[in-house]
Amino acid sequence: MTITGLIGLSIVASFFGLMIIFNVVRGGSTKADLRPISAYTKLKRAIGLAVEDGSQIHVSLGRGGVTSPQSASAFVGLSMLEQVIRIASAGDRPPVATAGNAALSILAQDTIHGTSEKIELKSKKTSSGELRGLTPFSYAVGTMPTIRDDRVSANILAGWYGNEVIWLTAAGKRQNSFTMAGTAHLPAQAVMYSTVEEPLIGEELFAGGAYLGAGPMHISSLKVQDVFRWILVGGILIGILLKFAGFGQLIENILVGTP
Amino acid sequence: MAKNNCPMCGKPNPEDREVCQFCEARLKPLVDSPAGDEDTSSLSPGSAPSPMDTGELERTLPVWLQDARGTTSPEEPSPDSSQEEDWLAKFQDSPDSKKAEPPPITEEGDQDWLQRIRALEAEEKNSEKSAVEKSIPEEKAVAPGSETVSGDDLPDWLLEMEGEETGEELETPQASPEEEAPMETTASPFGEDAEETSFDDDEALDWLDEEAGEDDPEGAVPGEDLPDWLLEMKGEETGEELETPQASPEEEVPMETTASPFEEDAEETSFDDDEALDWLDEEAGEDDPEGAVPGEDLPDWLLEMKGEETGREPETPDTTSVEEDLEESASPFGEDVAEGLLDEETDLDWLDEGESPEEEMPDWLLEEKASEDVEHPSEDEESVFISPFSEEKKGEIAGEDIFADDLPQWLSEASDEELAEEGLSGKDLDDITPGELPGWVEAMRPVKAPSEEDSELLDEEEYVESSGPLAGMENILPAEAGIIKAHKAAKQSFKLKVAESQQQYVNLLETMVANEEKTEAAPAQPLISTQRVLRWLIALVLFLSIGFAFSSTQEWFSYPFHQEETRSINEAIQALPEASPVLVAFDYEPALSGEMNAIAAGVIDHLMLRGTYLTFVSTSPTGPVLVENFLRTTQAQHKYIHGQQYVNLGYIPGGAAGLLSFVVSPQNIMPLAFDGADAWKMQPLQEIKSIADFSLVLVITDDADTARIWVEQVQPNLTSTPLMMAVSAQAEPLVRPYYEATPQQVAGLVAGLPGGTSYEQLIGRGGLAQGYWNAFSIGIIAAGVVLLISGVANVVLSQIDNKRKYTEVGK
Amino acid sequence: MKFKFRAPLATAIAMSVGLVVLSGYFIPAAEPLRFILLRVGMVLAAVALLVGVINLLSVHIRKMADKDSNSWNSFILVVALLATLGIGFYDMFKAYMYGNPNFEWTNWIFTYIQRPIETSLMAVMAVSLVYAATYLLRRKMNYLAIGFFFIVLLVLLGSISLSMMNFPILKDIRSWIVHIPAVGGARGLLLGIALGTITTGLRIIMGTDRPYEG
Repeated sequence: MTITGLIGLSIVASFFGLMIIFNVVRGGSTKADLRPISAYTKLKRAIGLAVEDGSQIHVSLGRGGVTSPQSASAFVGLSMLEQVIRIASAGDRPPVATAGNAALSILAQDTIHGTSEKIELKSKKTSSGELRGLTPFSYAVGTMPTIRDDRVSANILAGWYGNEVIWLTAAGKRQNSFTMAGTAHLPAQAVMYSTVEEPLIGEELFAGGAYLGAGPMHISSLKVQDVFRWILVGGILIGILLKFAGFGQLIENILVGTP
Repeated sequence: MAKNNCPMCGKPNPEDREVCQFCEARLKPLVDSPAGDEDTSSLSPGSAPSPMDTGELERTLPVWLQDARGTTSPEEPSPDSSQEEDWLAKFQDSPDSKKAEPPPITEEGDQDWLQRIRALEAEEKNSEKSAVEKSIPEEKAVAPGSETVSGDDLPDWLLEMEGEETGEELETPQASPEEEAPMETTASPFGEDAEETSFDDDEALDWLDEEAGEDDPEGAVPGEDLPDWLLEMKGEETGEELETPQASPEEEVPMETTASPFEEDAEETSFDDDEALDWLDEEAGEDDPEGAVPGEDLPDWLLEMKGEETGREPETPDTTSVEEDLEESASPFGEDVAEGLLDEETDLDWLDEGESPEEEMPDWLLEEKASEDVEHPSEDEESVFISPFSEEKKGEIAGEDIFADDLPQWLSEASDEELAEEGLSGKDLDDITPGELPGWVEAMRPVKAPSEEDSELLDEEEYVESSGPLAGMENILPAEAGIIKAHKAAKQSFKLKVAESQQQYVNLLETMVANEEKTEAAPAQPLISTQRVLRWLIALVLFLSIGFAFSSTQEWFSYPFHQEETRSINEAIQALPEASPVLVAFDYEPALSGEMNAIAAGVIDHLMLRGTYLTFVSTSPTGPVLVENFLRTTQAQHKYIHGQQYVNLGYIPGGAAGLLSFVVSPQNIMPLAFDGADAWKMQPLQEIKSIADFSLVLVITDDADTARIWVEQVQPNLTSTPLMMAVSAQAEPLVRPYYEATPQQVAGLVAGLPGGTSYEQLIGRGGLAQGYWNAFSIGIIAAGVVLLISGVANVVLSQIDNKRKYTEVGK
Repeated sequence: MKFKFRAPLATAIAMSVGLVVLSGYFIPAAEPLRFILLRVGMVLAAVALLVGVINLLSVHIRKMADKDSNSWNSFILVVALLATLGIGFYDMFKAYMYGNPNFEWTNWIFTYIQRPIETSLMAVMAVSLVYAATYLLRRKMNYLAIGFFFIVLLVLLGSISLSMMNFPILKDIRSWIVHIPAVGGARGLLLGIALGTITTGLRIIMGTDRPYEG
């Protein structure tokens, strides 16, 4: 095993351990002091309004594959879908989920089915998970009618998107419906920033589960991310100092994997 | 100074008093026990309770009851002594005791009593008839030493049974182990009560044991032979069981033992007259399985209770019928057994009062009924079972003339045959004299319903409010006419004195309210919104400028100078020998083919010029077709032939995972080419065992994350094979760090249209990128100009808006 | 009581496979098993694509029955999908049976239908992006939005190599923006995303998140 591999394993193990420790220390509590993220605050309000006026909530899961790093944002979208189904279960219209990837659409249907069973939703109120296209543009074009639907009052775009997300956000704006958008794709984040009232920048998307009450482990995950964020900041600063001090070669050797 | 506790109200009285100073109940019996032995002194109320071995009492049980106890139920064929204990423990779950705290085990003798009963059961099975003969002397030997009955000595659970019933615990599906323990302890009060009892009449116990036998789950008495009132009880209990389908055995048990309070009640009584209990013998004879008296001969109220107890009607009876049953059955249990059963004249017309309107019922019973009607209408009957033990009841039943009334109908209907079986005739019953009943028992008789004369007397003595919110309350000061002196109210002026300024406010408010009702028409939506106009305008500017650039042959824009990363890839390709195997990944979407084809055209052209063997793969489903289209449209001049100069392996499913698998074992993952041919039979590919065996790997992608997947999953397995990339302009900032990193993870880079154009310059061949360059540059300029103008316009418009807002606020 | 074994079984499979694949990255001994699982996953992903297409087809067949304006779109989609599928099968049949692997009709559909449509959509998207940039200051007049707007403008202008408008300073500014702040910001964002990705993946391996238990 190379040093790089060892570092990687230790990082993953540390994540694993800290997540469990934080969860145990917190005693499984779902309450946490989270910094307010405007998008999630408004999302909760939008869901409440949708339940009140009997309108529908649209959860777009993007087109990210399940077997790639893009899947992380897709899984966050699935967690949010589950929470939205739970929260909006009292409403007249169940949420609708759209996906641009085949495996993701299957997972969306599984999530809908599983959540509906958990909360004992009647079959007539069960949400639908649909594949709307297999390419980025076909997915975007296929999803636009759902956003433009008068019965849809809120859109949650949580998943993997490219620049084509501008059509989805523009459609939501034209419909004058609430749109919250987040992705791990950086160019798409820039597009979202310029077109959405409530964009999720960076890792804010991955905090969705914690903010929507998906469970204590989501909050523990946020804590661990904070811990490692500070470790990374410290590591970067130390690396800069070492390079200035003439230890650049040593750092390169470590990165290459040679001892 | 020794004190005697009143058996009725439980309050202490001086020892020498014969009548309770509080409730006037007789404290000492007028007549001694028939035996007249010394033990009868123990019957005197107020004597100190002492532990007593009452196990011998079991022998006093009548034959039929002993037989009943010894007979097993169909479900449980073998009698078990523990079930006897359960029989008592069933009381714990009776609705009456739901809220009752588990009473403490007062004395060990309580448990012993039960154990002895169990022990005796086996013996008594063999000598059932002889046990009846023995019972009388044994009773006399045991009962006198027992404790006296007093309210204070009543166990807590009995006292609390008088309280409000909740029955909530019945709803709990399973009793916890903690709940089981108190259930067993509740058996002790019964034992204690049994010890307290002096039995003067074995027939009375027969009746009681009959009750027990019926309620005993092991009892062999067929349901048809049970009295109706017992059947009702059982039915109701069974109904409750049905309502709680998962009730644990601990919960089921007490339901079947609800008759026990009556047993206790009866045992509290000292019976002086054998004849007084003849009617009980009749009942016993009826219920005795050996007697084989048909159930049809039983009185109606017994039949009704029987029906309920057998659970033939699992559904809870409606409230009305339950109330009627209550009224019918309350009297026999609450009063017959406890007090009036042994009346010489068996004059039980007072029982009819039980069917009288509710206002004639005791208050406590009304309260019970009221609360149960609201909360537990199905458990009404069980509330009646509590009544015999209530202090209020005892306090009220002080009248003695209730036994002067006629027999109730259900008793008068006893057949001559039954009487004959008991060796009694109707005349014998008539011979029962009232003087033979102990006075304190008479004192327990219920109060006769007040007559009209009494009511008048009461009215004279105590004022009872008859109307208004205080209706029914006594001793209320009546309203006197002189207290309130009505006079004409003074005239008040209702004319408001409004100042001028106030009037202005009023007018303003009225105007505002009036305006609120007026709905302003929504502004009409313009047919063409400014946003749409702006969008079309931008599109028009871009399309016109780009179209103009395409139509012009003049090269207004100089080609960009090649960058270092572009030169790196050029040098790497230039160094490749002919027919070198090169892996090319087409990982972009068709929508971006305009840009990506232009970027990749120069590089692919160079590779073909070098005569390399190209192997195409894609992690996008549209990639394989895109490859064919690219080769046909941009590289047609090379006339590469599939299978001979290149192979299209097609789509690698699974994203990063699939790509990783392909990296390790390409021949196994993608054995066939796009057209189904065996891809790895071609000469250059036969030696390819892993991706590192390729001479060069080129990734053409529009997505920085796809590029990152290749860098992370593939590059570490390439060893010395260089990884080159041709990426779109949007991916360049994220891919470039891999090129600039040390060590390099990306050996060469062509980024965006400028990179493609510069590469074509490097290889000295004009291509697609150079053809796009003019249009691209003009399009960039047009976009920049549009942005600049719109930016300035937006700033100006925002300032105007802000000024307008300030002006409105100022106004 | 009905015992559902599907959910715990799926959870157990997901957790064990995730652990093996993850450990295969760090522990060489686990690599063979990891590749076996990856191959299985690859096949399943391909099957999922087919399932997804069937789902797409069924959804739009159902929508065809709806009496709204989109029912015609669904009809066109279903017809196009079936036609493309048939043509693809025909080309495959020709390739396998007659050794004619040019996929003529499939290429025709791609060249003359799919690619133009998607490319034109890309052009429309370019217009939409420009419009969004113009509208940005109208919607958000704050420092971040102003900075965002001017950086976009500078990078665009820096990409022009107009000989008569050749301002080297614009190119230098663009180069600095692209290589320093853009890369630094992107790395920072990517680090945060990577942390979120790790925790998301670990939650699935730990069985906390189970999107597959339906």
